[in-house]
Amino acid sequence: MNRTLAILLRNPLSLLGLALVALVVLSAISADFITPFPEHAGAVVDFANFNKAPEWPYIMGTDLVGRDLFTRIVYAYRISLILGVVVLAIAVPIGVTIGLVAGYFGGWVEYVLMRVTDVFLSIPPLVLAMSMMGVLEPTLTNGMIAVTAMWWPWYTRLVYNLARSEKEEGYVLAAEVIGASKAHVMFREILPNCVPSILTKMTLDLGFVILIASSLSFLGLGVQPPTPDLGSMVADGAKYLPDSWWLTVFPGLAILVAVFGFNLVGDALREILGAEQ
Amino acid sequence: MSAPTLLIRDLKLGFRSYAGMLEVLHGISLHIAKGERVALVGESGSGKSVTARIVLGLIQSLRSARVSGLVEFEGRDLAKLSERERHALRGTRMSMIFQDPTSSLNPVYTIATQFHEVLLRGSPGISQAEARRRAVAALDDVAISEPERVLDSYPFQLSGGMNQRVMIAMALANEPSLLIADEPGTALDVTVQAQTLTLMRDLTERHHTAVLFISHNLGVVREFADRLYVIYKGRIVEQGPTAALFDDPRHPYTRALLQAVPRITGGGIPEIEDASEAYFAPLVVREGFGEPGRAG
Amino acid sequence: MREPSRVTRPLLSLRSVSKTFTTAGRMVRAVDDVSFDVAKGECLAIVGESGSGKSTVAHMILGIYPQSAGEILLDGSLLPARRALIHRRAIQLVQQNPLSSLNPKRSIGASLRLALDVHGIGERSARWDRVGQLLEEVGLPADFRSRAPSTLSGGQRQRVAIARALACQSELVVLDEPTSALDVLVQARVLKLLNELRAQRGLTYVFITHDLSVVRNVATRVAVFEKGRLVELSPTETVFTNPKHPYTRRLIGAVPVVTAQEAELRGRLMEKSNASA
Repeated sequence: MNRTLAILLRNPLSLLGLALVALVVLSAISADFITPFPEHAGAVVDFANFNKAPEWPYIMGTDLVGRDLFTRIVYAYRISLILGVVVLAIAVPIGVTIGLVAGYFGGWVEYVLMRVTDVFLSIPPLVLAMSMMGVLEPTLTNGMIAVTAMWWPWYTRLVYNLARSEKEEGYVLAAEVIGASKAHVMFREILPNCVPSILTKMTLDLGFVILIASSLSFLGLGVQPPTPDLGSMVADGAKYLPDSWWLTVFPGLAILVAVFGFNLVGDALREILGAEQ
Repeated sequence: MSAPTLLIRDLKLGFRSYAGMLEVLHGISLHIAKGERVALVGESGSGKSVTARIVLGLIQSLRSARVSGLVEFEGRDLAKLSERERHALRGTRMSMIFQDPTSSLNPVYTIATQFHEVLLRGSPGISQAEARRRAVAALDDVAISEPERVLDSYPFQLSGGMNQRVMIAMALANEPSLLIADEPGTALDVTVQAQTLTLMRDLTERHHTAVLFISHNLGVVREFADRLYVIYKGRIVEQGPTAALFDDPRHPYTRALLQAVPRITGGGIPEIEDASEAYFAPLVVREGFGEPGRAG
Repeated sequence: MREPSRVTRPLLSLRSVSKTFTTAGRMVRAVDDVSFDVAKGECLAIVGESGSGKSTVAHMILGIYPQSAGEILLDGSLLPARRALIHRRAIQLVQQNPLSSLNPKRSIGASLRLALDVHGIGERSARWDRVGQLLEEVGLPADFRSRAPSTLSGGQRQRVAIARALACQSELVVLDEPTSALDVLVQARVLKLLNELRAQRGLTYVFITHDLSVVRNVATRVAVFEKGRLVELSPTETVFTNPKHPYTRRLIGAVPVVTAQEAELRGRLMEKSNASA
């Protein structure tokens, strides 16, 4: 605990990261209480106040149908975070299990699993998600499916490499000689030693999932209106630059803050947990 | 009388850590005369390797380390030298051999290239051809029968014993006055280790090179060193000439250490404490073997 | 190199055992037609340098990989290439490096308990207590079971590894360089413990090592291996006073010694070696 604290204090950037992540997460959780116009998260039209530059009570201005931008950004955070957590909650167990099996078993099992993984890794993530979204209907659920499909192989790669080196450790041999099952060796002996690296990657990825989801909706393939989304906000606002600058700048900054924050925390976590990459 | 090759007086080392200051050396003193082979013997964590690293000037620049006391090499105070001057000493006046010869050599260059690199430190601007000529002579010295073939090989193409010889040849190539050997040969088989030690002994004797020999193995030390220091938890507990110390160990820790080594003549495994208050008893120095010019 | 036939059946027998590995398309004969018996209650040392095949022999006894030819018998019955749980329980292992042989992410107790769980030894509810007893049997406090391996010294960790080998109540323990990673004072205490356990419990050891001075003081018989072949197998006393094979003499001649008496013995053997050469 002292060590953790010392590492955090020594590195001001990790403190900044922690603050940014706290800001994003806390505002997303308490969106209903801190936003001035919670109803603006949905399909509301207020033509009296449309396209307004930042002024009280619209601290980040309003969009083209008069909705408070600040409110919509906070709700967009909430949706992005849910998206990120759900994607990782599905992708990580799948990726980790495949990586463990491939790394521990070796032989043809490793060959087949890792070649399949390579196929997924060789397709540029955005292209894969775009083609999936082209076939499927562009909804939040399908967005999650698309992002998940391109996310698990990275965990397979990571865990596969870790498992291959952990397999050589004496404790694996000890468990095998005792007669422990393969499942025990993989999940109870090897996996705990991979956890620091997995956790670190998950933290970094929360930022990246938000970024990729934003990219998808920027291209019109993600979350559909009226649900607020940072990517589509940037896309819609871009047409009105530079006059209505707030339409793009604030959602853009919001993406930056989230991605930057999770990255800094991920880096700090890597040092604290002593994870290998 | 000229200055000793190495003089360490009241050397202390601490590392700043999250849990506060971690004291590693509690004021150790040792000296090595010109051409003398001196061993520093201790268990893991005794501070023996760290001492070697301080002499090499590798610890002083660490931010977390606090070093105090005197380290003099050929009469020059290491603390008063700049980082560049200390760097200039390494590989020229002072050289080193580490435990695992194969990993100490760079796998992507041939022995010839690495030898050239070493000789350049001692003789800047030395030509490829001249370097090769000197390398052949040096390898010949360490009883390598086909120096030309070895020079054109990569380290992984040679056996561990061969790499160890190459390391020794490189370490002595620039005629250093002090050779620091940190557990040399520990990673090798016993028969190869024995040959390596004999070779090192002969060569350093011939070149009048002083040696600081770091080891945990009392048997190896007995066969190599003229004089030895026993170190326990950052304190020197006993010092003296090798034969006298092995015949008549006076410090409780030295006695325990010697007793604990299994004998090839048998006698079973003795009952020994692995930690004891007695091991912290004050330093034992044999008459006439303290630092020259000082009492004790 | 056969032992004279004994009245009692040997606990372990190797009959014409060979092992060939294929690396980079080349066949390497690691163990070449080796036969020997291990009697109940003895400590058979297997000595040799790197490449002698001593570790390969240990691995085949443990069933980590099968032999290429020959048979291994335990208590008169043939050991199959794929070991069943009952075979795993019968032969235990203590490895060289106690730092690696205990899983850093699991408690000492969890590592010890694994053997009890896998083989269903004792009542489920009594196993945690049994773990404490095992620790006490190797001279450690019972409450070490809840500690992490990183909080223990090298010697303590090796004691835990020994306790784990005792957990299965097997008769045969393969000791693979059990003290070569330890300091000399700690080594003495661990060797003493091993000697006591063998005497008290009638254990049988196969002691793999390169350290002849250790062998002299713990082994009843010594098997000397050179390049995959068994070149000498004699009672310990004979090996050290009247070794037959020149390689044995060379090995003993290279041992660094600490007393004049030992140096004398060594000199005598080397003289013989030179005389016979």
